[in-house]
Order: sequence, then C-alpha cells, then structure tokens
Amino acid sequence: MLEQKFTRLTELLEEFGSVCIGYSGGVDSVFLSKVALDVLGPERVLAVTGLSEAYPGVQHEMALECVRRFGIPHLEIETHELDDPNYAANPSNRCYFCKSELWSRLAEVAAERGLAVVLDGSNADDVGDHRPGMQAARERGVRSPLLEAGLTKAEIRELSRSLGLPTWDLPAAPCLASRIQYGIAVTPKRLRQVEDAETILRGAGFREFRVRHHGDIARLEVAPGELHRALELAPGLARQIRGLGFERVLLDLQGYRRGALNESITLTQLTADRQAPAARAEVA
Amino acid sequence: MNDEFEQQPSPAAEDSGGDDPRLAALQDLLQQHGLLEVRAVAVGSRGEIAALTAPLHLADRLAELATAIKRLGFLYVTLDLENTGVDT
Repeated sequence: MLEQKFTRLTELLEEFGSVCIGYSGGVDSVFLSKVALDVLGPERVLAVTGLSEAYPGVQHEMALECVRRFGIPHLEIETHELDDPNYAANPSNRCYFCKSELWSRLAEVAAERGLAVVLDGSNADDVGDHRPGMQAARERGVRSPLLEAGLTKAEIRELSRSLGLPTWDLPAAPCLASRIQYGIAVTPKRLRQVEDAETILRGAGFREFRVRHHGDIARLEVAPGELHRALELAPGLARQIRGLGFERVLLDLQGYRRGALNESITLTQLTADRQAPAARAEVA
Repeated sequence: MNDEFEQQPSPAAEDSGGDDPRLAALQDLLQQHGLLEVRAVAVGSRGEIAALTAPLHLADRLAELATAIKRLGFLYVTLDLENTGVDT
C-alpha cells in the first residue's frame, strides 16, 4: 500500500515535468523536495522558501541544512504578509491571505524559471482540517502531490526515515502567527515574543510544545508526557517568559494539541465583528 | 469573588465580572472534589481561559477535571505558574 502510494507520487512528479516547491523545511516539504530531486534531477526542481517575521528561525536552520546536505536547488524570497491588514488583523482565515501572497510569488518564480507546476506539501491528513491556506493554493492552481498520492503524515515520516531525512521525526512547526489567538493583531513584537518563549522551552529540553499568545497572557502547551517536567521547572519558566513582556504565564492542563487555537473559532467568529476594528486599528 | 480576584485583578478578570456563573460553578466543582485550596479566575480577552491558582502537587487532579471544567464554558483550563505557592 505504501509502496503503491510512493509509486503514484513519483508518477505524478514525472507527469509534472518540472516543479517549483513551497519549501518550509518541515517534514512534508523536505520529503517532497528530496523525492522530486531524485525523480526529476536538479535542473527541473526549485525549492522556494518565503522569509518573513512569522517564519520560525529554527525551521529556517533545518531548511538550509537539508538544502546543503541533499543538494536541493533553493531560492529564498521575502514575503510581506504583515503589511496586509487582512492578514495582520488575524481573522480565522488569516492563512488564506498569507498563502495568497506566497503562491502568487511562487507562480511568478516558476514562470520566470520555466518550471511547469507549483507544488505544496499538503498531505492526506490535511483534508478536513481548518486550512484556509489550501483554498488559496487551489485558486492559484497549486498541486499537492503528497495529498493526491494519498500519503498521510505518518507515512511521510516513515518514508522520510527510509530516505535518511533528518526531518522524519521533526515535530510539526507551523508559522509563528498560528500561536496568536484569532482576533489579536499579528505584529512583529508578538511574533518575537512567541519565538523567544518557544526558544526558552526548547532550551529547557521540551520537544513538542506551543506558546499560545492571548494578548498579555502566554499559555504554554507541552506534550502530556512532559507536563510533570513543566511543573518542576515552573518557577524558572514563568519568570523567563514573563520577562518577554507577558503579564501572566499559564500552563495548559490538557497539554499540546494540534490546532488548539482553532478551538476558539466559533467564539471568534461570533465576536469577530466586535474585535476586528480594534485589531485593524492596531496594525494600521 | 475570591482573594485572588481581589488582590490581583487583571483587565480580563474584571471584564469577566465578579458574578460570572461559570466561576461559581467551577468553585462548586472544586469543592465537590475537596480541592479547597484552589482559586480560579476567568482571563483572556473573552474570559475564555480558566486560570487556576493551586499548589503544584494538585496539578494531576486538576488535569483530570479539565474536561469537566471546559463544559462549564471555558475553552482552556490552565494552571497559573506564578501563583503556585512556590517561591519564584
């Protein structure tokens, strides 16, 4: 079954002929880039990374390491999603505005370089999740070969391991804006607070975690298995993270779970009209 | 509402109001489970976070109650890391 899906992936890449890949340095895009490179060769593959304040530095390092190690043709472009008030106001479809810019830019790069198709790293598990960014991709003709081949995240990890990719067991690392509660404006300062707080947790040895930004509050989610360690380290962690400008540091008792801020979407949508003017004013 | 609320008001806690029925229900729930040392406030821009003040050794018991606490109308159930009875 897995072999068949992998074969389907290689067939899709051969059909595309040449590809421009949105490359974040995460599990999916590294795997896709490596397979594309193996199937198509370096002349017909380009991995493109969009750099902005919302892109985690730790992921940038991994992206560059894989480029160096595997010889993936690579280009970095600066993106300016924070300049878009629709994005910065942080509505529940924020990703749509970010990805709209990213995929438009990649389409330009692909056209300039004569690459036939723009690809993203969406996989079969992403279907049904709250992912407005996928809508932006579809609107711009971006293809998702991992998804089209039916590959799940677990399968991509398994295949990545067999290919010797260092990302095979990398925790998911979406953009830093995903940590900021919907309706609270995305600003460079808040993104830095999130990144610095997560650097503190990483430095303390935590592996899977998020720092959720609720305005003056930092809500820490750590993997349930690491909850006791977080409690042991609580005083020091709280002091350091408060030093970044938070008034309260709270530990979520249910621990890390993917898309936790999406749990507030219904509430957000109900109050969006009330909060949107304030968020827009803040970023204006 | 309680000592925590009176001594350490935050804008969000004030927004949630001193007569928040969710907090009254939460205190009842904590009492039913013998967690008399625990205090709670509603924080966050919409009062969506239950912030519990408790000694750290009660964290496991509070985690077991998290789902029940969310049913009272909170999106997140948390422990305030700087009000745990530990000298920071």
